[in-house]
Amino acid sequence: MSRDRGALALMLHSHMPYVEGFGTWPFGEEWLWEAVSTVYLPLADLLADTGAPITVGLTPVLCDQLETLPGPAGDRLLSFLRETRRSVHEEDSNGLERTGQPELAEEVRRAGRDYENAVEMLEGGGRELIAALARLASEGQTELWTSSATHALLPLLASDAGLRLQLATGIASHERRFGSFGGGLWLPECGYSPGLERELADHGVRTVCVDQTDAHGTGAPEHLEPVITEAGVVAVPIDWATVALVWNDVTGYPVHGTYRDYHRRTVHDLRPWSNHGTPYDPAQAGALAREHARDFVARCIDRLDAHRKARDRPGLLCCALDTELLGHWWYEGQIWLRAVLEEAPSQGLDLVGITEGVERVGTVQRDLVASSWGNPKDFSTWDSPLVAELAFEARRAELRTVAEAARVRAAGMSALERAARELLALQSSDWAFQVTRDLAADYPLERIAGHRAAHDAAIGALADSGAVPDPALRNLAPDLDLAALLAP
Amino acid sequence: MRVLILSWEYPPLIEGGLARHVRKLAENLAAQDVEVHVLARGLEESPAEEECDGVMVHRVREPERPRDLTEFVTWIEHMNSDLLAVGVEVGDRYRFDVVHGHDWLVANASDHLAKRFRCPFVTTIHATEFGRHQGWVDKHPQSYIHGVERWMANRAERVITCSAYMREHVADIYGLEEQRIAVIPNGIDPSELVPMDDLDALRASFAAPDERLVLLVGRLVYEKGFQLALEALPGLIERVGNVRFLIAGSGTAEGELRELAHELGLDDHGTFLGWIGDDVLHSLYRIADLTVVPSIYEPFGLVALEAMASGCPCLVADTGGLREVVPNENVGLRFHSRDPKSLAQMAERLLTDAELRDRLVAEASEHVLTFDWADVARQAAELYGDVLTTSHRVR
Repeated sequence: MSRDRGALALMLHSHMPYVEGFGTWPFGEEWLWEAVSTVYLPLADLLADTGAPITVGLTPVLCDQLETLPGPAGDRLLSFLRETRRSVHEEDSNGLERTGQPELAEEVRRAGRDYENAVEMLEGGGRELIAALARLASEGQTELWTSSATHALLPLLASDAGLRLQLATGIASHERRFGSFGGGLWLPECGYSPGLERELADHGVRTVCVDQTDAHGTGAPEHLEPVITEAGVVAVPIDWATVALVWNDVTGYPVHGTYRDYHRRTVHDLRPWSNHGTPYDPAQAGALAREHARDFVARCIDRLDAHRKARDRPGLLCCALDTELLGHWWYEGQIWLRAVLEEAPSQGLDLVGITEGVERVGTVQRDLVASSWGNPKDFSTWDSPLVAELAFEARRAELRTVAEAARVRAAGMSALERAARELLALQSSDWAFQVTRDLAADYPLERIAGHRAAHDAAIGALADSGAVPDPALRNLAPDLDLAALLAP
Repeated sequence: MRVLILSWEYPPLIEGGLARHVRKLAENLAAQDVEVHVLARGLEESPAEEECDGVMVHRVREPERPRDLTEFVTWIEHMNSDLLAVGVEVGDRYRFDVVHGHDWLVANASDHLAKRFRCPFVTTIHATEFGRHQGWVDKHPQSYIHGVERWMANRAERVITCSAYMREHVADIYGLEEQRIAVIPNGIDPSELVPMDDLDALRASFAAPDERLVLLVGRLVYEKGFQLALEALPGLIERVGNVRFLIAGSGTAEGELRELAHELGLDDHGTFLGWIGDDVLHSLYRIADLTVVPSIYEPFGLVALEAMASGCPCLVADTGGLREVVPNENVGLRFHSRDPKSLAQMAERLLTDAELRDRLVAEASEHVLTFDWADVARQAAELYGDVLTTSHRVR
């Protein structure tokens, strides 16, 4: 039997639709401020401290926004932390104190320090987050992946030109920000349909992740085998049995009673309770996270060994998670991650970047099925009757843009640029997801309506030579690759 | 630095001016320590791969090119697939830093190869379909070619044009920022303009010793403006007498031009030579009293440069790249573009003033030295270096 059991690849998918400058609270850029403060700044620290070979997917549209932090957006983030965050923690801790709940009040004061730490990090160079991530990749072992420009579900795009626009724009911005593109691209929502790999290969993509759970069933050895497609692109399956250890909303680690409750909130949406309903105890929760890390590592080894037994060769166990899970939705997530990194070597589990992992275990040839990592694992989250209108809007806008691009003259280039950016904004898979899951009330519908109106105006300016709109849309897709739309 | 240059023609296969241009550029780059590979179409008997004058040439063989323009577009697509296949194979053996394609004819293969090699794509736009057809690019196949050019210009990290006029034109019709476009003129090597031995006999076959010879060179197509020169001739003959014209070249407008000459009563005043070889062409510049370049659309104006390098006075239309090739009245004269009367006036001045002609020829022989190929190649090499340091599309 093969002596090498293979290795674990952790893939952290980092994404946020473009919210900078589009609303503040309850929906809008405060999502971004929360994520920067409680997820991305601590994660950058964690990666620098540990030097661990973790693969980090950064969607271009998230980077579009992180790139604005050195400017006025970062000033708004800092005043959010120094004013809003500070005052709501004070008010709620005082209120809890007054109503005779001193333990909860103390926990609110403690949790407030998370945001004070974020202020310190931002004042100490944290606003240059993109540069810090670039350093992690060039000097450390972090493997950076990009994605399509605005996280569009690629199999649902209407045209080759639209697909090229998403890919070329995303890759161009990654190359500018991080110096080069290593070939790793996160397929938004793991959305794949057969044939997609041809256009991916044309854009220099070498590796993607897919979710083939429905084809082989949870727990099958196939999920530990990178698949080489005819176009040469390697599709690395994510192993849902492993992902679910963290992700499952009934049995996953984060729902354990000791962890902080994400849903129960104070007047100002603070969360001082544990899932048990008792005042949150950070020491207990931290200890549990380390215990869960030991459990996770042991189960990863079991998965790899089961694969080795079935196939007599090493496997690549890829566990992909939303980065925002670690610190935002699952408050203890980054404690858990640090513990996994410490625990893995002591139990004999190798951790690798995905590219290194593929080289180590090799590839197999196998047909891939159309799928996503959604629930269910098809595209219905983004194209079911509930969101059919949104899917239709996006396709309509795409086809109009492509048609106009075919006849645009030089004078219309800035209008076409603006139309393309509005299209990219419309194509984010997030809007349909928020509607399907009812996560953000009317916000996604308002965003769709706004971008559609601006898109119509830009296309209108092309048709009747009307007032030429500003080609820019805040900092969305500054590296727009218009050539992708012009390809005959 | 290793560069892959793509062209649809390369000596010994010669369709027009591109083959010579690419060869001179490649050889002069090679002389400056740039490793140059050329990927181009070859003749049936050409080897698939050979080193010529320091340049590695990789060739594909293609069926003969169709004359019909729609079939031509399909043929070009096939040629690009073949160039791509060979380019992929070559790329497996060599690591390229830059891919440099010449004109839309090789845009597809260049784009794919640059992406595959993860290196910048530089394109030289020698002429545009928009310019060749005075803006009439709404119908197939012109619309297709225009579309490829526009995409290629927007896609490339850097665009090279041969004149400031072309830079403005390209920026305008494709909607590019001017800073993405570099101007690098075409070069000329006077030592290659070798005439035949017996120039007197050659001249005698076209004109009597006392007759003035006016030379027109180029493809016989509308945008070269030869019809303007023909229209100017009857008046010129009337005023100066003893003027004969020589038209060297072939093309789609040949029938119309011959008919026009006939209608203007010029049958006995000149000769349509058809396509001629380089040795004859270079000799014609030596025996002609005046070379006229009456183009309506002219990205550069190599004919004027060749005339100047061969000691023949030249008169050019005041348009396009000709303004840069003939930048002042010390090296050549310019007439109002598209105006046969102005052409006739200036031609009369030149043909009747020997002192003026001598002065122009003397000044022009100095002026052409500024179009030195080594200098052109140095500018191209600088641009490659520059695009490598500024482009993110690098390994």
